[in-house]
Amino acid sequence: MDLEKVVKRAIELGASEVDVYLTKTSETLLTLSNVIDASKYTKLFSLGIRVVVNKSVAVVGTQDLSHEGIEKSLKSAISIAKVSSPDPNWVSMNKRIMETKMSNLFDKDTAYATPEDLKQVAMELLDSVSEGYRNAKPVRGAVTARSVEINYMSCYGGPLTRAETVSGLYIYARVDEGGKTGTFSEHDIQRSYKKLRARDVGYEAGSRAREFLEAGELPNGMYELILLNRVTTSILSVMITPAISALNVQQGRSPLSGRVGEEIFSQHVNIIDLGTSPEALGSKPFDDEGHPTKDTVVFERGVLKTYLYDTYTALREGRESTGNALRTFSSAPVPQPHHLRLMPGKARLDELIGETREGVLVMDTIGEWLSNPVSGHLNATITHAYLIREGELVKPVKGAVITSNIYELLKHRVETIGEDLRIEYGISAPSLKFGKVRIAGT
Amino acid sequence: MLRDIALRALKTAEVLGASYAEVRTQLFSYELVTVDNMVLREFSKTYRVGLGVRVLYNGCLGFSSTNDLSDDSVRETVSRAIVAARASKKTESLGVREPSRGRYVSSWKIKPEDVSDEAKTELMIRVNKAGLSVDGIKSSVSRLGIQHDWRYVVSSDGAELEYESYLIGVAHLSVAVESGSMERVSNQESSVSGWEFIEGRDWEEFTRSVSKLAKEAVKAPLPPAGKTRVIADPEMVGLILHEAFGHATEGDLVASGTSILKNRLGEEIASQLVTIVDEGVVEGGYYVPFDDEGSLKKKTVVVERGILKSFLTNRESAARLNLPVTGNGRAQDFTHMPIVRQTNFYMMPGDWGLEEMIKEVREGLYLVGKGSSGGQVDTGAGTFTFSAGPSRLIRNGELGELVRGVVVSGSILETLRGVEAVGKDLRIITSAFGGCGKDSQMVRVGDGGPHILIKELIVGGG
Repeated sequence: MDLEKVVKRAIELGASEVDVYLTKTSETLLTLSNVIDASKYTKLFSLGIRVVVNKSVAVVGTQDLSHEGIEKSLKSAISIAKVSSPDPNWVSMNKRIMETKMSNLFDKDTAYATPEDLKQVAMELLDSVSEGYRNAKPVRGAVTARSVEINYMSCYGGPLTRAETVSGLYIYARVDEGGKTGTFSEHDIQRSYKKLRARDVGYEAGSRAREFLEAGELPNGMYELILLNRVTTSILSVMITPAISALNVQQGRSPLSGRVGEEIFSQHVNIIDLGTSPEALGSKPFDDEGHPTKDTVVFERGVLKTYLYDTYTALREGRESTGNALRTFSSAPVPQPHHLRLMPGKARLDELIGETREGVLVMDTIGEWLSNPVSGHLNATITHAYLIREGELVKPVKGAVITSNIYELLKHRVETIGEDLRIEYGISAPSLKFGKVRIAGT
Repeated sequence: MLRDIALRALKTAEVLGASYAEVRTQLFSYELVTVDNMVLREFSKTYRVGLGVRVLYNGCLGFSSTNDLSDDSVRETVSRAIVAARASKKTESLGVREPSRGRYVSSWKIKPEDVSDEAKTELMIRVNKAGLSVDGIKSSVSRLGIQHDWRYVVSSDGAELEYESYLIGVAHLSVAVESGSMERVSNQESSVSGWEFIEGRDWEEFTRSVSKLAKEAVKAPLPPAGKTRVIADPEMVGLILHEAFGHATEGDLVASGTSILKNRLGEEIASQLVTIVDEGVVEGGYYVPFDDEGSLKKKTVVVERGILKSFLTNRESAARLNLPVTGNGRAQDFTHMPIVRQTNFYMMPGDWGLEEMIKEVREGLYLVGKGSSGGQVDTGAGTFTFSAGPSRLIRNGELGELVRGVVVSGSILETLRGVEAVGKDLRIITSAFGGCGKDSQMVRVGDGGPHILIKELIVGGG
């Protein structure tokens, strides 16, 4: 598609500014139970058009990319912008259209992976569950390979093009024995499907499911707390990601408003947004409004250094964007991290366990996303954990709720930071050990 | 035109040797007006159009989709579905259903697209201003969501169905600040209707009430942590049922062994006061006259007086479980395969009044759904969790002080067995802003019920 034509047409129709954002996505997916249930292939083109008329902004996203479809979307965008009330905070779209040099975001084999290619990975994943424990069965899972190409152009420059691949798998394993049930799920995500650790993931799910056959209840009380790295990543993305977005800060919805320069967390806590590291999934050469990306230190030794900005929020404060505009094809850009990393420490997981007198090692939770990033109040329901006594894992437990405040936890309670960095899409973090925390159990 | 494309794709699938094929085409739009602290932050429109093809080839399922509707691309999509089927392992049949034909339309009086963009913007700025006018409110976001969905399904076993529906709603978030403490409260009201739903309500009053609740909640303490007896309001009952129980009745999870309800049909799994149904079209709920496999969605009685009567199925899980097809094979859109989903899942009313229940509880917690952000379940482990909005303690048989940050957790079966009273009221709701996620697919749902009294739940408090 000729993006330049779309930009020109928008100007003809009366736009004072315009940008277009085209995504081409293709995905091969196998869904699994104890076998490969089904397989699907999807190819999708989506176009986002943002126009400004006299400080009024409108966004139209369309998957109808016929000539008529695009013309209809353009006219619709212009007509919305013309009748909408102006945004007094609007200055301009990004004018610094360029990219940071980056490579290794795209794996050709993954972009063209066929269902047959992924079948090999899926079979290895399914077979390895019973290697973890002979009676463990895979009951649900998936293997996927996806490629996304983004084309960006605006009235200020472009076109820019970037492409990335991501491949992932997960498996949920179950053991039924003696009237009891044990479950566990594990996953992995990589740039290339050839790097997926299918065997390790299947083995881990199977062997843990066996251990959780015997999961008991946890009495109500105060416990030392270890969050396994995968739990840390999901809690941080719920609690910290919205709080450091300049938009939430400016609109009065972040507990970090007006606190740059303050010591928010313990001095062991360093958090960086990685915009330009290929190994950090989510890094990219330019953001979703064509601004070059960079690595941004957000918390250094616990001190809040900056929020994350897109052009809109940056110009409101008369500063430069940090290159953190993210959007979908149908929505306006908002500032978000590319890949937020809580920097690892030096302690191994067994050392964290070893220094715990009476505590809980949390392996998996549900509902952590129900926590409140505005008040900082954290709730996460433990589905899989181990009770620790005198430095040893004594028994598996489940069904209790961690209830605390994330700022209290990361400032006053955090004791040791693990070395075991877990990399997910958009976030990475190690395991963390905290002093006594309230856990609501039975 | 989308009908012709679907019919051509169906023919291609048959020519290429598929023993069964179903083709879906969809035309979808979503309009979102967001006003943030009295500034129009976003006015966006999304249009989706495309085709999804599912085939059974040599007993294996394959699916492919595209939004490039040229002849070549449609042919390629069908053959990719067949290539995909070759990678699947399982040899399986599909559950038999009566193939139906028909056209379904939800009811509306005023088409939302006939209302000017200007009027929509003005309304939302006014509504947002009302929310922000309450003393102590520092931030206020109001949203108007309008969805239009047209779906067409045609299958090689003779089904040909189409529906058209509108879903419209207003959502509001208020953030209150007092002495360094912040709290947010959000609420939404939506309906399967046209613009008349918007005209028929006082939305300024709606946003003011959200703000007043946020202002009250910011000063409120957390509830005491631990086990307690609770009354849940209809919105909470909807959430609890959907999360704690509904997912476990989904046939694909049952067949794969991921559900705690496997092999329990006919067993008493809940209190005798409990009857639960899943129904495609019901007052207050979302509109699902048929599913994305082309099976009609009627009323399914899942639990009758405590006895587990039925699971929710699509054609694949029905065949695996040897059960009837209940019309619950739903897909987020044309790019996804249908999987088993709830439609409008709710509890039937009983004969208790709310006052009676509060007296009965004496000491406990009254869980309020308004302001809840949802819930989640691990169907295999049998553990669920959900958040409530600002709620009230029950002290000495009366409603007491407000508490915030309420998150409850429990075990699926113990909770349903622990239902001690069921109210005589009934309310079912849906949302134009969210839905239920499963396997990376989001679908709109409805849920609800009467007030109920539950013997005990774990409350994560302070």
